[in-house]
Amino acid sequence: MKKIKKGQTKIQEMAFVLIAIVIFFSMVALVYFSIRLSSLKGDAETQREQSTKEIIRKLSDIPEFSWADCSGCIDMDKVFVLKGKSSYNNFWALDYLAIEKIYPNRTKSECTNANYPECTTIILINKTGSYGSPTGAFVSLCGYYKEYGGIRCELGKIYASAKEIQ
Amino acid sequence: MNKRGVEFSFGWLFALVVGAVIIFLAIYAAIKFIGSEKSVQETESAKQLESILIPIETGTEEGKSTAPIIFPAETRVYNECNSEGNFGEQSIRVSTLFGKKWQEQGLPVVSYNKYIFSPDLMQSKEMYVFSKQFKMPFKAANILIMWSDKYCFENPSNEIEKEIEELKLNNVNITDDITTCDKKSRKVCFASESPMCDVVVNTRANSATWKGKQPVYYEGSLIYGAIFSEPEIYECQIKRLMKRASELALLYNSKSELIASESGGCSSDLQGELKSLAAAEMQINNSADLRNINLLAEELNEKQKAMTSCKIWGD
Repeated sequence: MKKIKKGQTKIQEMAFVLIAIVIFFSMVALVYFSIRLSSLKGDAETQREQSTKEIIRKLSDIPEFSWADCSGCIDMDKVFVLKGKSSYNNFWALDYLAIEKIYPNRTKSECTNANYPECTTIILINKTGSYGSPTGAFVSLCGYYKEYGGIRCELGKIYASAKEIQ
Repeated sequence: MNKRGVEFSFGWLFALVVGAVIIFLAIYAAIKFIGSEKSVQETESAKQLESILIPIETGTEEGKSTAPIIFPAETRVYNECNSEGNFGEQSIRVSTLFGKKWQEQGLPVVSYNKYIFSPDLMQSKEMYVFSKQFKMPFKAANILIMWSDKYCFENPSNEIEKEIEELKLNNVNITDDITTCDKKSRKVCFASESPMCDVVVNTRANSATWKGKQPVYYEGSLIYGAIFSEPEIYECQIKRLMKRASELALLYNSKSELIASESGGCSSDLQGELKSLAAAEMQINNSADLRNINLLAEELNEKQKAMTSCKIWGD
């Protein structure tokens, strides 16, 4: 009876040691994976940020945005009609994309059929609330203005942001 | 009891079994972990490659080439194209050589606004790429031509020869005699249909035929796509390009309606043709339909050229 008890204690001791080893290595693995995951998240965000900058840089050359008569200018009329096209959802890997007229000064208002072109902002993509801080770039915004009887270009800014990784 | 025998108590047996299980699990986890790490690396490489391609694609120039893309090790780039959906999908996967074994492909990096014309598998440490504008009649996209092998062009037209020189495509040689081509190069014949040719280009029919495959048809800058890209990839990218061009035609139509309402009808003459072009582009079956679509596009372009004001796209 005494011998059996001794054997049982040994087995229990060994089982505890083995469990402790497993728990220890699991914790080490957990720490390693959390560090690795955060660095992976960092890498992914850097890649996205880089892509966003590249997209902003090339946006004025994309056919859907480009103004025919000057390189680097954006066609506001095209952008305004593009706003209503659902087929372009997900076309650019962005979570936020907006174009804002900066000069001449106007009261800030989002462009609608009722106030276009006398408005300041066209928001093309606004998918989530957490898109990080948008990257901006200055551009010339050109379009047809009835009151000027023709084409006019104004100073504006493009804002774009890729999704913040949760 | 034999006292010289090895005593195997239950404790020992238990420790051995559990120890073996732990070691097995540890090895299994390590193998799985290394596998997923490699997959992450391959996916990162594909994403980096995609980022590198963005500035090459950018620009208002007719064509643009850059220095070769050099990978740290021998690399396979898989080009996949899917024409389903609003604009179709372009995905690239990467796999690198590790020792003597090719790693499993990473996850695909998908984009909707890129058009890579290339073989479905490119393998090298160096990849070559250049971009060309695709217009029909307005600019629809910048297409990317990518390849890894050496190319040898036999008797191309003066226009192509000049363009290759301007783009400084170093690993594309031009020759008058196909037998002088490097043995390992892909031979593209413009003036003959010798069995040595890997691709035969017929500039009268605007077609290119890969050895053992059906011909594909091109218009304008698409000739490079037809030469450098696998016919299946080419046909898929053409469908995607046409979907984009169709959406752009509808966009220009909406722009024309917007301007016309502000200016008392300016540019409204183009609206009918823009809608017809958009419909024809959306219904394309294969590259053989390109010629008819191009005729519609040329008519539309002529009509806009004749207009003195209210042009809605550039020349």
